[in-house]
Amino acid sequence: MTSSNGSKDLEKIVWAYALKNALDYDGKAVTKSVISKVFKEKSELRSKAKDVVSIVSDIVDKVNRMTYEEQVKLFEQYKELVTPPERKEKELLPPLPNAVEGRVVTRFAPNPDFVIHLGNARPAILSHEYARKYKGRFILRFEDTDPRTKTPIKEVYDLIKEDLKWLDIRWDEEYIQSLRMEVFYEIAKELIKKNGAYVDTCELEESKKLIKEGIGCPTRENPVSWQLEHFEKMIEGYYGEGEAVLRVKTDLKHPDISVRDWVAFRIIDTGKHLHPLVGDKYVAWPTYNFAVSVDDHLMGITHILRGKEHTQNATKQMFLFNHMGWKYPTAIHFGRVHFEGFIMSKSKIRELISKEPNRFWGYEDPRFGTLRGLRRRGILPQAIKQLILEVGIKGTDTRITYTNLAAINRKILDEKAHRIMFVYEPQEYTIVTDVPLESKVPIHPSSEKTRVYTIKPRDKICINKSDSNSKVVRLLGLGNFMVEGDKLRYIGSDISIVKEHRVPIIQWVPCTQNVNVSVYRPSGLDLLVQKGYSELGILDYKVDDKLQFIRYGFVRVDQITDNEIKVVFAHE
Amino acid sequence: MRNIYEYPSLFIKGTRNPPFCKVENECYHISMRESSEFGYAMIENSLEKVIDIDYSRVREDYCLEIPWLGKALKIARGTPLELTEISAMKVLLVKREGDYVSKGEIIAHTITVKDASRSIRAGSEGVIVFIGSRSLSNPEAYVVAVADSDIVEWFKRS
Repeated sequence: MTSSNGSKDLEKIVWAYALKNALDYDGKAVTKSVISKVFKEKSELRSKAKDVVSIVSDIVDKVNRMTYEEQVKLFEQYKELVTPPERKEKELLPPLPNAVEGRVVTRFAPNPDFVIHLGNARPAILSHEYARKYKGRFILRFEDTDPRTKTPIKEVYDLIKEDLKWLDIRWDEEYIQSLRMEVFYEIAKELIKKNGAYVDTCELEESKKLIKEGIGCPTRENPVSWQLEHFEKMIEGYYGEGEAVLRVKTDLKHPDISVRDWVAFRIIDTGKHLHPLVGDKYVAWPTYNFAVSVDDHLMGITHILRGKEHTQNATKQMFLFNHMGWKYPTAIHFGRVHFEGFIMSKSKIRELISKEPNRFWGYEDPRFGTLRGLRRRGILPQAIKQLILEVGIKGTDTRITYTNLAAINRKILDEKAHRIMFVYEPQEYTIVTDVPLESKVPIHPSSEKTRVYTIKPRDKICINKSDSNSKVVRLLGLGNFMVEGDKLRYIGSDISIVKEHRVPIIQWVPCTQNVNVSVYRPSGLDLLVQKGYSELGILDYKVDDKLQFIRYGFVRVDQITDNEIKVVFAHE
Repeated sequence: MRNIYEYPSLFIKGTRNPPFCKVENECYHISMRESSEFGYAMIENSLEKVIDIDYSRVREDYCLEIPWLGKALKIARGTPLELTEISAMKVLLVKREGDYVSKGEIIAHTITVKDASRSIRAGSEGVIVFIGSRSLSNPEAYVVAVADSDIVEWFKRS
């Protein structure tokens, strides 16, 4: 040891760790465990391992010879050395680069051709969180400038807003790009005047070939006045689809050919592809990269959070920013998330819904990874948010399974979901008792509120067939019963027999007073239906309530009719 | 050839979730009935429930059913463990739960952010009684727990 003071300090720490270890494990500390803890906390002591081992084994020996009470008493002296300093709530998100409090502006820019699913919930949640973290602004912007291939759907604008509100995302400003076409035209003209864009009237294949050769369509070199005139013609509808495009001038030797002179405007025949908001008013439509760049600049976006598949787009957009003399926002490209076990493909979901409308419940089908589907399945928005924040903004790829989401959801639900007894493979039994029995089942383990049922002699109750193999069972809240053929004979309520004889505690429902329940269980593309009975207490709940069916799993109440209650299974 | 999609099932003492794992007379069996104190727990998020990472000890008695061995192991609360924490961009585990390892034997290969590969070796001899992953961590992070083979109890599938 370096000094006697140092040695005394070490001994104190070892006493503290050894006592803590003993108290945690029934009075017995283990030398190896204490050494491991010492090195974990004081890695600088590794070079003096021999001395540490000797001190630890000596002290552990002394601790283990003490009585539990002596250990408790002595630990009081050392407690402070092992009590960890109060931990700050774990910051899930790392700081944003170039962020100034009050000035951060982020955006979420969905295409209203589909509702939000887990994949695009990620940029929405992260962008919103950062805007709030830095007391900045969060913008919702609908990017709907492709009426041909990503045709916007009128009702989806509102569905997306509902989805965001459900996630507790509130936006400070809202824009719809198709209502800003005049702005895009003005900026395009400015860009032409700065010699940053040209109208390409070459045949598409010819144009592609020339760009590949690093030359570009000959119209590239025409004067600005010609470009302006022909861009105006594009806007006015002089050109048909594929006859002219406006291209942003880039480095024609750029190693990525798709970056070279990328298209900023193209003609879309809105007579055929009607836009849901502006109809056929416009035919010259900005491409994604053009509209995004203009709006990011004009809306003062400071930080863009998006998947790394957008890296190439950033390269393209940079040329436009440079031509215009604008400052490019800080872009953070996070890794891809592979959502395993969720049906998320827009095209697949669309196909399933349209081909089999009776089999699938629209965007809300619990088999889909849409937010609506997950909500219908009983997943809470907090769980989705927590999952996304845990994955964070790292650049590496991640895999998320339904089990990951269910684990978080279960933790949140477990604390508040009321318990209900549900029997799905009912077997009838007659209760044999001399006196009426009263069952009191708490609605939640932490609640004093109970549901009371009175069971009279010869009443019939149902239990699950798989629970009927025991000789003795404890019916939840009712008492212990001997199984005698189709009779259950009451033998008292002493709980200790449950532990001593490992008597199963099982759920049950009265045979005459119960509620028909159908549980819908998503399983890949199938939706399995399990029918059963629940206690009457389920009638106290309404659609969208989440419940825990005892020894079965968590469910969400989906529909209540006169004959039955339909619930969707969330997870175990 | 072993099935790489097989995972061990964890049963923790005092957990009242079905299914339950009952061990007796050198055999174990799994049943939906509450036949034992060892109830099912999701292995994916149980690392800190069963392992005291600070003190390298088993926090709760547990059974681990290892399907590719057709066996289950049982380990008692308080058992000291040798913990190896492995964190890297990519982690390739070459040992699995239930494997015997000798001191210095390679248990995993890793690839760092700089694309360098490393071999991770066992710190002591024994049986791998748990491999826990840090939930959704990025880079990948695992904790491999090795216990003295004399302490581990084994049961065959009944």
